[in-house]
Order: sequence, then C-alpha cells, then structure tokens
Amino acid sequence: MTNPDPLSTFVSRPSWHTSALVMALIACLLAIDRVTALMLDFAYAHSGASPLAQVRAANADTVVVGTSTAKYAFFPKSWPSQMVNIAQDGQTVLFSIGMAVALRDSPNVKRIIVGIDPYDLRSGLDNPSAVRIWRIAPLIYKQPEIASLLERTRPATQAPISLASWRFRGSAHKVIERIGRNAPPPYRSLPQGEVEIPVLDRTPPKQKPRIHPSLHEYLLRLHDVLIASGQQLVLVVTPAYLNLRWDLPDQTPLLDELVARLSGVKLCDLTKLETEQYKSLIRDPENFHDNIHLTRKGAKRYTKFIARSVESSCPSSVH
Amino acid sequence: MDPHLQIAITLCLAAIYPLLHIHLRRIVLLTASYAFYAFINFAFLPILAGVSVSAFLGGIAVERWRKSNILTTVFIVLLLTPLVLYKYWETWFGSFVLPGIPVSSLQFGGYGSVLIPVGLSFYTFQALGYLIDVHRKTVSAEHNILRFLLYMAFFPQLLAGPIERYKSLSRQLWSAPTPEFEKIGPAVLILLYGLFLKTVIGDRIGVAVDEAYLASTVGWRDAVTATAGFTIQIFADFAGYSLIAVGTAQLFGIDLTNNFKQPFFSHNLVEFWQRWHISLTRWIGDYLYRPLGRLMWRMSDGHRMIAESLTSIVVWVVMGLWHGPTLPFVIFGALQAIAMQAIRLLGPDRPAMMPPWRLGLGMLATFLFISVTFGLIRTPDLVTYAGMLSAFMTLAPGKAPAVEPTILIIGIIIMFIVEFIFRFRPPPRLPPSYTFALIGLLFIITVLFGYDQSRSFVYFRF
Repeated sequence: MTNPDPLSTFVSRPSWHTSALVMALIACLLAIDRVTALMLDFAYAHSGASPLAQVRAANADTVVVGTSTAKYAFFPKSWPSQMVNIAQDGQTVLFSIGMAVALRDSPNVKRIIVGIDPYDLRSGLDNPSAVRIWRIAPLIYKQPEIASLLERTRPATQAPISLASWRFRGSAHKVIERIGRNAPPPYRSLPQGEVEIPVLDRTPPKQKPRIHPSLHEYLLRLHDVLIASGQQLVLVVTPAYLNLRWDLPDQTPLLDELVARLSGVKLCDLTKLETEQYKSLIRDPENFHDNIHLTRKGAKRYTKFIARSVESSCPSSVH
Repeated sequence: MDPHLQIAITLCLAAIYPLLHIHLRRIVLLTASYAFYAFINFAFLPILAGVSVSAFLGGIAVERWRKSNILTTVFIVLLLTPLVLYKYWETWFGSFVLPGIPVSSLQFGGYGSVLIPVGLSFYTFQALGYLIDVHRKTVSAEHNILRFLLYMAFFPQLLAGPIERYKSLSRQLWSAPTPEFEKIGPAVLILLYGLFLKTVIGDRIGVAVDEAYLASTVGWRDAVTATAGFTIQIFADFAGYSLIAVGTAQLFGIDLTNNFKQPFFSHNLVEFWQRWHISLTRWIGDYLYRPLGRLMWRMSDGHRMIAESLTSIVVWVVMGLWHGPTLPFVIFGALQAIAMQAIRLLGPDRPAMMPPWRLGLGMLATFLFISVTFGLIRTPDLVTYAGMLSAFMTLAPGKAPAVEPTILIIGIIIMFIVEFIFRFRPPPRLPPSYTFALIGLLFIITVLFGYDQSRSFVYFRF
C-alpha cells in the first residue's frame, strides 16, 4: 500500500464530531420509532383499523374470517344475529388462524366462521401472501401463543431489523385506505370479473395431500385457544362456480386433516355441504362475480343458507 | 439485500468510519463492498474480482504498449466476455449453463436459465471506461491493485451505478476523506428520500405492473399501468437506488454523479435523455457516440445529417441492447434514435423562450412517448406488447389491481412536487432543524408506508 499524499492525510483525519453526529442520528431514529409505536398502539386499539375494535363496536356474536372469497361470500345483514365480516383480500389460511386466536379477547363472540378459499388450503408459510398476516400484526403481538410465530412470516431479508413501529405497517395502510370499515362488502372494489365454465382436473393426486407442515404449530395453538375460550368454530369452504367438493379430490383429505387436528374443539364442519339448495346456488351464474367471488345477491343467499345449515347441523345458544 | 437492512448496516459503518485512520477506512470500504456483494450471491464474487483484475492488468499493459490498438481491443473484448456470456449468449446462441453459477429464476433478471451477476453491466462499463481513458492518456494506469479494486467495487454504486469515471472516483476513494459534519444531515435525507421512492412508490406500483402483464385479457387500465405505471415504477426504483447511492457515498465523504435531474419535466426527448440515467448517457457519449460520430463523418464524406443519423441509430441500438438482449430492446433503442433525429430536424429550440403551455405540452408528449416505449423493455414479448397497445383503444378497464391506491397516489404526488421544485428552482439550503425534522418524517413514512414485500431493484436486471 502506498503512502497517502499530504492532502489525503489532512482531509482524512479522524473526526469525533462527525461520528457522534451519526450515532446521535441513529439513536434519534430509534427513539422516534419507539414513540411512534406507542402512539400507534393506542390509536390502533381505539380505531376501526383494528378488527377487534369493529367487533366490539358492533357487539357481534358471530365473526367471519378468511380470504377475499369469504369477504364477498358473507353479507352480515342477512345473518340472523349480529355478524361482523373481517375477512380480507389476499390472505391465506394463516390469517384466519391468527384472527381466530385473537378473537378470544372478545367475550361476546360465540361463533367464528372460517371461510376457506376453495383452491388455497394447501399453502403454508411458503406462500408469499402469508406475509400479509402482518396487516394484523398489532393484534398478533398481543397474543402470547402466536406472537413468536409471527416472526416466521417476516421476509427473510428483513429479519435482522426489528423496529417497533414496523408492526403497524399493515394497519397504517388500512387507516389510509379505509379498508377496515364494518360495512356491507364493498363489491364495487372487486376488479372486473366474469364466470367461466371451470376446467376440472379430477385425476386423484399421486400422494395424499397434507396440510403444510409450517401450519401445524399454528393449528395446535388455535386448538388450545378454542378449547379454552369455548367459542364455536364453523368451517366452510366458500362457493366456487359449478364446483362441488368431490370435483377437487385433492382438497378433501386436507379438509379431513384440518377437522382431525381440531378434534375436541366446538366444531361445526360444513365443508361437505352438498344439498340441492347449495347446488342450485353454485349453478346460478348471477350469484357469482367471477368463479370464486360472490355477488351481493349471491352473498345474501349464501349467508342465509349457512345460517340455516348452522342452525340445523350445529345448534348452539348463540341466537 | 433488503434496502432497510443495507441502510441500517451503512449507518452503523458511517458512525465508525470517521474515527478510523486512512488505511483502515480504505480497508473497511473495500471489505464492506465485497461483503455486500457476496451477501447477494457468493458465486458473483469471482466475476467481479475477475473483471476488476483483468481491467487492472489491462490498464498496465495498455499504458506500456499504448500504440497498439490491438492490445486495447483484446482487453476490451476480454472485459466484455462475461457480459456477453451471462447476458446475451443464451438468448442469441442457445442454451448452456455456466459452471458454478446457480441456475435461478428471473429474480435478478436472468434470461432463460442463466443468472446474471447483479451489476455486471455497470462495473463492466466502469472497467471499459478506465481502459479507454488509459489508452487515450486521460489517466495513468493504476499500479496499486487495492486502489483499483476499491474503485471497481465501491458498494453504494456497485449494483446499479452511477457509472463513475476512474479519474474522479478513485482519487476520492483513496484519499478517504472525513465526511463533513454539515453534510451528514443532507446525506441521510437524500438516502431516505431514495428509500421512500423505492419502497413507497416503486415496490407498490410494481405489483400492479406485474399483474397487468399477467392478465389474459387486458383493458385500458392495464395498458396504462403497464406503460405509464412502469415508467413511474422504473423512475422511482432507479432514481431511488441512485439517491440511496449518492446519500450513502456522502456519508463516507464521497461525491457521486447525480444520475437523474427531473427527467419528467423535460420539454422534449433529447432533454429527457440528458436528464435520465445521466452517467450512462455521458459514458455512451464519451466512449461510443463521439468516436463513432467521427468515423461516420469520415465515411459519409462530411454529410452531417447522414453521419448524425447513422451514429444515433447505432448508439441507441447499443443502448437498447445494454438493457437486454432481445428484439424489443433493439426496437426500444431504434425508436429513441428515430424520435430524437426527428426532433433535431425541427431545428434548435429555446425552452427558456417558450410559453408555459408549450413547455407543458412538450413535457406531456415526452412522458407519453417514453411511457409507450418503456413498455418495450418491460414486456416479455412483442405479442404481449402489441396487445397492450391495442388495449388503449378498448373501453373495458381490465383487471390490473391498484395496490393501496391512496398511498400510491399520495406518494406519486409528493414525488412530482419534489421533482417540480428541483426542476425550476435551485436546491434549497435547509436549516439543520428542518433537515433533521424531514429525516424523522421520511423515516417514519418509509417504515409505515413502504410496501410489505420488498422487491429487488428493477435496474439490477440490466
């Protein structure tokens, strides 16, 4: 290495001032992060951005969780008691589990309806959408059973950074976008769609499908929480145009495994509904916005149908 | 690497850096540069080292036998070999997989089965510039390998530029100046604004652009997203990266070229390309356009129009090919050349004398042209691109989702306001209290409103 020229030595002399300034700046940014997190924590708990706040405000006894298919499948006003639909677009089954666990803090809620996407039960933490559970991160962080599990959905590249306000990212979006309102499903926000005759692959799977192993621990926690809270869990597979359960042979073992993993829970398994009334609902294209999302008319009809099915198959003291 | 993590590490390094002795500073910069690059993919490291050492030896050889054009040509071909092998070979000459390089998806923009080492185009051009400068006697050949390795690998600008000249960057890096106390605040502000552009706008709009290209049937909204949306995405992403690079470098006392100067406020296409990816256009101008122009001038017996047109087409096709190896990239370049020649045919204009409405109209026309042609460097093939263009005529809106549109629109409005202010006024000198308040605000905005799923920078693929 050559010797530096005199000019270099002059301009390169150590500077405590500059170093201290950068350190102070880092410390200030971390402090800003903590203070912001505290403020957001308070605001979140008292705003409509929190699904639990919506549930409390409506004094609901029945809550729907799930993906966009559940969001558009259940029309709360068609349910015989107080229902809130907090299903969200683009979620995986992981969100439903997280939300179901968080709902144990709502003593009025007696029944949780989990709407399972007809084509998306197999995905686990490897699904890119799993990270969207961070939209309800402020709630999840308050659930000791699953808080530690939340970290596993953080993208690997972001793992080393831990900012306190980071967990409010998803909810801050919602405040801005006004997604968290408890209102009739915003059908207008659905992109343009149309129903198509589904192309069915009825070949039996080569290997028996299993629920993704990364979900096992989550299901175990859900199982324990539901037993402790005594809430009823209603499992439904949201409707798909012209598709019945037996049309999708690889889904059936997954649903069976899910039910088995939740044994002991107050469970109402409606995943195998194939009554004539249901068949007529899924055969009518007017009920569908596209192949998996219902129209308002379809949602009203489906909600009433599920209400009757729950009443007849799993009566409880909720109503 | 996630930009948040990279910035966190950078800030920690920047806190220690001013305390170090000059030798240690050089070592820290070189080690950090190679470590950041290895963190992306360890297999990329030999390519960077290989290109750097080849250019280093090439510089010494070219200086010694300067009269031999053949030797310079041999080294230029040698430096271009990895770029051709990784970026162009499979597309042009058929499938093959390089030994030792992991086959990957398109995460970093590899074409087919070959994963392109990130930043290869950028540091290859930097090496070529050095070699040609030595040949032209603009600089003396470097005999200190560490100094040269540092010039080639300086981490803030390694992956996507700015493409810096040896003369300015190497001297700064080797003198390892202490970052000025007064410049720390502005540097962090620039860095965070770059992060804002990338995570709040670029990443968010990128999802909609991807979806628009995946749609089976497209409508006018998809077409707008795929063209204008992509133009905003690529600006937010690339200008964001460049600002992060400039801000990061300033934290270490180094001044880099400002790669973008409010390109969307250009009154015509010629001005646009003087404001977009400035370091590349300058590089192309110095090392390709002017030598080629002189050659064309001689070949065309002094016919200025012919010489200019031919030079422009060749240079812009090369610019297109620099972005990618397929036909859409060539068409992209050719269209820029034709449009710019058409503008030149109209004769010189004086934007300062133009009424505001005419400037505004020119800016709008430039944005539209750029948006439509940028679609060519994003589209997977020409059929999809043609479908997108025809979708402009349809009444159906299409299916492209708007991802968190309110945040996106607010972000874009902020971006355009900042661009507008800097276009027509000199950069304001903010009092320190304003600077640090803005730093806090931008920090919280990027933490809370950055898109959930961070994506790699678009220009990494080029």
